[in-house]
Amino acid sequence: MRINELIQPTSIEEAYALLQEHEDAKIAGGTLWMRLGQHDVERLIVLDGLGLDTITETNDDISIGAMVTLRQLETNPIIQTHLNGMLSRAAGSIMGVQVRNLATIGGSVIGNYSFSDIIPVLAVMDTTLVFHHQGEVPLDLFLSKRLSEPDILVAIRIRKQEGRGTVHKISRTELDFALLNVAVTHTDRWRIAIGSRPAGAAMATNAMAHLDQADRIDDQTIATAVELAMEEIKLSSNAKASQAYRRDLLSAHLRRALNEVK
Amino acid sequence: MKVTMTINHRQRELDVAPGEHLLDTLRNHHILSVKRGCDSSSCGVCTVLVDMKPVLSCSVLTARVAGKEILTVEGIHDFVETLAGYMGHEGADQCGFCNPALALTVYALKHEIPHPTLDDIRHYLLGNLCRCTGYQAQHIAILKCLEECA
Ligand SMILES: Cc1cc2nc3c(=O)[nH]c(=O)nc-3n(C[C@H](O)[C@H](O)[C@H](O)COP(=O)(O)OP(=O)(O)OC[C@H]3O[C@@H](n4cnc5c(N)ncnc54)[C@H](O)[C@@H]3O)c2cc1C
Ligand code: FES
Ligand code: FES
Repeated sequence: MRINELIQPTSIEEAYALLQEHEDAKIAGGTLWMRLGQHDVERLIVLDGLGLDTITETNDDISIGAMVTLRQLETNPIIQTHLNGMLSRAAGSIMGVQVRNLATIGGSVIGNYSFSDIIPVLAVMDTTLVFHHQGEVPLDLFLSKRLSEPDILVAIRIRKQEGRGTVHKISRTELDFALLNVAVTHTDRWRIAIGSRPAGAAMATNAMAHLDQADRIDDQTIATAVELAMEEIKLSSNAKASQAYRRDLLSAHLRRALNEVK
Repeated sequence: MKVTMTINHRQRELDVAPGEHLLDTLRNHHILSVKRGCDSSSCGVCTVLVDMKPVLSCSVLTARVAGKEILTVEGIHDFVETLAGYMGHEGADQCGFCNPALALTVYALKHEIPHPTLDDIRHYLLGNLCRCTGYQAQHIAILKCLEECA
């Protein structure tokens, strides 16, 4: 990747105006993934120094600036405690500390990588994306529609919820992409997201509805929820794992994850 | 473009291209302890410290670290000498290609987690690949060094 011009705007308004003005402009997160791409970047707009690198909370929400790094997610006490620290654990499982000090949550969300360890966790939380121009967009809407026009992700907002959460990342080595990600939360309702299928995160909506409607959560309820998830979640093969192996992983890890948070 | 930063405790003004990565800037200025391995964010041998945080210099744009403090092993000489003693004693030193990055990452670890366990060390150093030692001896040497020098 070659970068021909680097622009450091002094406000988000200015950054957005530049993005509108120049079709060939791109927003920089940590540029880790962008750098691996083949395309040259004519104009790179960096958002450093614009206050997008903090994590704050109110009584109701946690707000994560788009430039917050994975390492900040891993070590921040607010993220470490919300829903059993599942977002902190997911971030901490990605590559080495040198990558996590650079890769941003903004780049991770906008990139929407099918191997993402972050998206399945955000998908089982009550997550809203805050864009400069489009304003608030629920994460599930963003995942299903993608961005219709260039915009700047300013923050990721998570509504605080009482309850429990867990994430299972299954990979061959600690530095490798996940063979499967299983993220589950149990708050006033159940949410289950399966990532690295190897396609991107999908919600197990029938399994979630079954758990929501159950009078009690026992072994049978969980077994049925796992069966429903196995029917509705499409898994396939790639160089890392076969479909059959992913099915075995899903069955075992979803059962364990549900038992952890029931 | 002109950028100013502190490299190994010395203020430097450098002329860099907009898309230039810190690894190239440092090596172009004869700081050759910073190695190029994969050049694709995976091996960790290009690690330097930016404001005491380990980052991959192959992936950081130099213009984005203007005003910051960059450390390579030349800037932490005393610590490197001490660590090298422990590494030698444990037989953790082989071709040495990964050593500068490892020493810098351990230096950052020491500041972030003053009394790390072996598990803390393993987790913190996951991104520092070594093709020779098999890691075990390195991690024991680092544990001893950090315990005895704390
Ligand atoms: C070697 C390697 C291994 C990895 N392994 C994993 C892994 O196992 N699991 C995992 O989950 N992730 C993994 N990642 C991905 C990593 O966690 C980040 O998600 C990725 O690097 C993107 O983040 P970034 O900050 O580098 O974004 P960039 O590369 O800077 O940007 C990515 C995209 O997002 C856009 N963008 C960035 N910020 C904004 C914003 N605020 N507003 C609008 N658009 C924006 C950019 O224009 C670009 O299109 C890996 C990355 C690398 C390099
Ligand atoms: S050279 Fe391998 S990570 Fe930078
Ligand atoms: S000692 Fe040879 S790469 Fe580590």
